[in-house]
Amino acid sequence: MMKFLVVDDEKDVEMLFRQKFRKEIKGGEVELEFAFSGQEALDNLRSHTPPDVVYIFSDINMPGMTGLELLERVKSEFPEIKVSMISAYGDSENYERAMSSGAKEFFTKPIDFDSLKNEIQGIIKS
Amino acid sequence: MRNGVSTTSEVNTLNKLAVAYLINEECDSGLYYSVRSVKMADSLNYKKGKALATFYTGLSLRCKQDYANAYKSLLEAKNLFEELGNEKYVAKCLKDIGIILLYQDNKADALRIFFLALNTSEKIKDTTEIMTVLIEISDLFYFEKNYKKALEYAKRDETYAYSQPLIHPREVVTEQLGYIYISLNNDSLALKYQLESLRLSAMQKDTFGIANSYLQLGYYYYDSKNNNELALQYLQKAEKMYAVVKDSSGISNSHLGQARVYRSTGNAVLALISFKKSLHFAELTHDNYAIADNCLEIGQTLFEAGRYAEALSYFKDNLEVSNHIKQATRIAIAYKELGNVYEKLKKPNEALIYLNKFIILQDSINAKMQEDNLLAIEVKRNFDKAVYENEIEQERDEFRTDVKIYSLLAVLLVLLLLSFMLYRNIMQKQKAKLKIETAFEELKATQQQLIQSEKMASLGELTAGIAHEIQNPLNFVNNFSEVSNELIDEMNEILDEGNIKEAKEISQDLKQNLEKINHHGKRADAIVKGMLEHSRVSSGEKIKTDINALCDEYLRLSYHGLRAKDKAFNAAFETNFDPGLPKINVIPQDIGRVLLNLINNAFYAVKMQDLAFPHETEYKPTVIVSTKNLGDRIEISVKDNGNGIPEHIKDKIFQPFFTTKPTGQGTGLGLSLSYDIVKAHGGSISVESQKNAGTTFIINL
Repeated sequence: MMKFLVVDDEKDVEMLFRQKFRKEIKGGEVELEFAFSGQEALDNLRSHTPPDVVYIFSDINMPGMTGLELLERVKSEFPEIKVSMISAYGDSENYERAMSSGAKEFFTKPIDFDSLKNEIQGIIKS
Repeated sequence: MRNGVSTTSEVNTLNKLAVAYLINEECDSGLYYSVRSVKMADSLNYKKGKALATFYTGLSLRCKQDYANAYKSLLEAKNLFEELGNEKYVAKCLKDIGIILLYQDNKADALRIFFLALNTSEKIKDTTEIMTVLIEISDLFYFEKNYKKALEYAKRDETYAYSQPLIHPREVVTEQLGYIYISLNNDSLALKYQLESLRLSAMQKDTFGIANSYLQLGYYYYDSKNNNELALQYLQKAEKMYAVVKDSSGISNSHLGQARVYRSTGNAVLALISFKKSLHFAELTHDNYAIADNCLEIGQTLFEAGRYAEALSYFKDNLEVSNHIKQATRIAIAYKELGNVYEKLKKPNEALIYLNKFIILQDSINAKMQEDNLLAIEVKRNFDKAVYENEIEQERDEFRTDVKIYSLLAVLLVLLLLSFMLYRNIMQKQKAKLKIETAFEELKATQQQLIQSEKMASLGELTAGIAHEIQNPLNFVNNFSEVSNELIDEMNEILDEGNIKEAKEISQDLKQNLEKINHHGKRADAIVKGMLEHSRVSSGEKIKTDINALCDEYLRLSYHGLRAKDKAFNAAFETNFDPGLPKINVIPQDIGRVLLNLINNAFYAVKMQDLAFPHETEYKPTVIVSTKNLGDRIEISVKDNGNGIPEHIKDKIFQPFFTTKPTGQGTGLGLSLSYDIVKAHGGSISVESQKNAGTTFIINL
């Protein structure tokens, strides 16, 4: 079972993700965890040594620590964890900064859950 | 220097001694004392004494005709006086340096220095020095044959001379003017000034001066007027006067003049007597020039009288003295006269020798003259340059004065113009008042439009932000409806399998999803409504409003609205209304919206504080709305004891879309809109806040 962490300040994201990945969760392929700020996400990662999360999906525009700051911190502290960004701001500036900071993928809102499922399937199978 | 101890007073004494000897033209003694004084002043570091001693050293050296060293000393003295700020002596040094340059035949630099001395003296209004320098400058121009300029400066000197009490300067300048007018061929003025000079000399019983004037007059009548009778009279008077003061040079000159008069009238005997007397006195003073002149002219007179042998003797003497003077032109004339006289004496060989010598020397003189001419042109150019520089400087000064005058005129003109305009203004005030009122109305309308366009502009700038704000709830609406669709398919499959329990679970989820869809739809709706409120054109009219009643109404509205939404919410509210509050002109719906915003915020703040510290049983969430009559305006305050506004966001709270509320709970337009409304009413809104103690919003209307 692989553990994924979703970071977004919109709490309803949790409900949405759990319903979207209901089958995967039921089947024991995927475990989802949620954090509602960058700081909460970091606290989560640091609470397990080594962290059991293998993949992070993070929003960019959040109060406090932004998704891009979180990306940089994760990449320096836990380089083995893959991080992909999900943002309503699909502009090139955000995209380039994310990719140059080591993001795996860059998804735009509204979320295309099919491509997200493909990404997760790819991780599970590898 | 008793016991080797010297004092400044000793320096002063030495300086006085130096001056005394200088006045007596005892140059060596002057030099001796002034040099000693310099050394002593130096050892005492007595600057003033040293400056004076250096000055006298320079004058002594000049007196000894050591011009190079005199120049150095005077220059040093000038610098010392400059350091001491003594401009009077700076001017004196400059003048004396100028005189040295004159002796060295450097007329251009002499002129430059004299101009400097003149400027300095004029600056400190030292009349004595100004007059001395003006005469020197006039003299310089006179010898350059620039009589016009010579006259100009002499005239300036005359003005000064007659504005001060001493006679001597007047005498000097009238004498100068006499010379100049002779050269300008203005006989009547020349005579006038010479007679004036004579009168002045007589006035101060200046025998020597009178003698000089008589001599001048004598030469004037002889040279310019060919009036031999008068010329002789004056020359004889001069001779007697010079005899009284025992001035050999003057006596010699008087006799020479008389001799020339006699010679020109053909009276060789008397001429010769006078020439010989002149020669005698010239020899007494060792004046070689006068001796040479006399010998030559005696020889010529004898030659004219056919007394060739006697003439030869005087011509020989003339040659000897001329050789001594080393003046080529004089020597040449001496050769020529000797040649002529030998010819008359029938000694052709000697005649030939001297005439040859004359021709050769004359040739070389001519050649030299050409050279000198070239040099003279250069000298003249340099001199003219010095004159030109001074003129430029003067013009510049005049220009400065002009500028001052013009500036003053300009200021006056402006003042005149201003007073005229002021007058016109008063006249047109009534008309203007009407115009202003109309303009004010127009301005108000424009301002109203501006407020509106400002809102629209800020709206345009925030399009991206708005899009994002709406995007999030819309995403949820879309996502939840999609997933619900999927869930229904799944539920149908499960129902087909007969698994009611799981189907019920899914329907539970579906219900939740529909609630979420509704929630996010409302969220988007609120944002759009807020935007519309922000951008709408106010059509409301201002009416006399009881602010106390308005506050009470919106306070209750807010409280019940919040209670309806959240049953767990509870807070106390108080009012503290000023009963003397007057009704004021406002748009009640707009001000109501402001109050609603502020009161909602206040309740929100106390709720947050209550939630943050759930175990603080002492905490009693309270919102207080107060009004106060401040005379010319009223104050409304909305006070809470909530969590407070952090310092770093205090200046951002009135910006559109700024909110601290979690996503979905605030549009960030409330305070921005409130600010605009209050501003449009001509009021102000401010905030006081302390973290965890509370916030007070104050509106002034």
